[in-house]
Amino acid sequence: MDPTLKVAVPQHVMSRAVGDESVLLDLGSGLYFGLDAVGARMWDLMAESRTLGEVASTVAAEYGVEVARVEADLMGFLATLESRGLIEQASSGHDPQIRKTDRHEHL
Amino acid sequence: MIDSTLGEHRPQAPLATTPFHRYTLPDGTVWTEFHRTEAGYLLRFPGLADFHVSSDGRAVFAFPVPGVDPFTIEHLAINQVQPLALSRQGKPAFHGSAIAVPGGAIAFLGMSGMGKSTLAAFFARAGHGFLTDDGLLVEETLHGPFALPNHPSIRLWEDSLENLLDADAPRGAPVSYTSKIRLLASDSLPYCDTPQRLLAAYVMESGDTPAPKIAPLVGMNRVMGWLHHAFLLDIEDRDLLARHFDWTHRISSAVPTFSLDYPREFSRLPDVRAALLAYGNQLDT
Repeated sequence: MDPTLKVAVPQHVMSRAVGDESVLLDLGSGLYFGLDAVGARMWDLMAESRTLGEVASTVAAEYGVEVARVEADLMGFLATLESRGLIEQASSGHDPQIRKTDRHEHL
Repeated sequence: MIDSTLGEHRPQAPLATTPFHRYTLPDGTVWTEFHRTEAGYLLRFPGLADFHVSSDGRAVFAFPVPGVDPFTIEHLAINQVQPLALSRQGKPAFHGSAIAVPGGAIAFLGMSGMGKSTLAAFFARAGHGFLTDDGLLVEETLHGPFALPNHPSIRLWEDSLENLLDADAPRGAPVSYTSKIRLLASDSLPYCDTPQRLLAAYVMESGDTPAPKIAPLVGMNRVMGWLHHAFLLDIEDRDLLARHFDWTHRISSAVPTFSLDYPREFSRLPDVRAALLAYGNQLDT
């Protein structure tokens, strides 16, 4: 995992927080996706334009687990999101590409 | 409000458009085809009727297939077309029944066959007026979400009727595509005709349990429970889809929501009532 990378939330994806968890809506397919508390926190941090390294270290600190373990979970999470078109291609962390629209709410 | 017009009977001519969505029955039979038209939408119920719905959901024109009776058309309009049309108006509608309780109403969310009409009838017999047996219409207000009265009838299978109501309970005219019996509101099956604040909602589970079970739904499961039971005519209309997501999120956040499971045996319905009483005391009269 390149810790300097950031991911972008496509315009066609909405998210809404529900307690510690989140629900995503793909406006293109009409499909909904639920995120548990850890996934929602990762999503939140990514949507705040954090680098993947920052996401992993923040979650590791908050949950008291090793960064390496969180990085592994984060990679799996990213693969799932990407396969469903819920995030866009990662880009350089020095040039944030997070898209913000009136339909996207940061968690 | 929906301006409904019953047109003349006419055969269902083949359509040039490809449906953008379909409802199918468990056996694969197409129940509803969703087509786009210049003015809005055409909902085709094969062998029964075509319903033209204006783009804004405010006007519906029904064209029955020759031989289909007006009661069937009314039935389709109330339970299928109206909730979908209301979604075009930005008005939330869900697959659910609702009954009045002290201080408001509670709703039972469930797809067809889950027993929400039976529950509504059971509680109505116990004095809780029903607001709807399906097509739960919800209005967001400054005082929270309200359940709106829909139609003063409940549709039951024969066995539910035999177990819950007197044989001479007033019946509506039969509907051609289902053997369910339509029971009209009466003194013994009271109807609540005023909007009621929605105090709680229960998402009905499959019945694979030896005893009634109630558990709070939280987080994503809560909003998913509502989304799964929502009516929405055009899932490809991104603006409406986004608004639908938002209003469902707001309603699910405002209404305490629970899962409800119980054995589907008529003799156990009093246990369901007792479980609801014990859980929330909402039925305590």
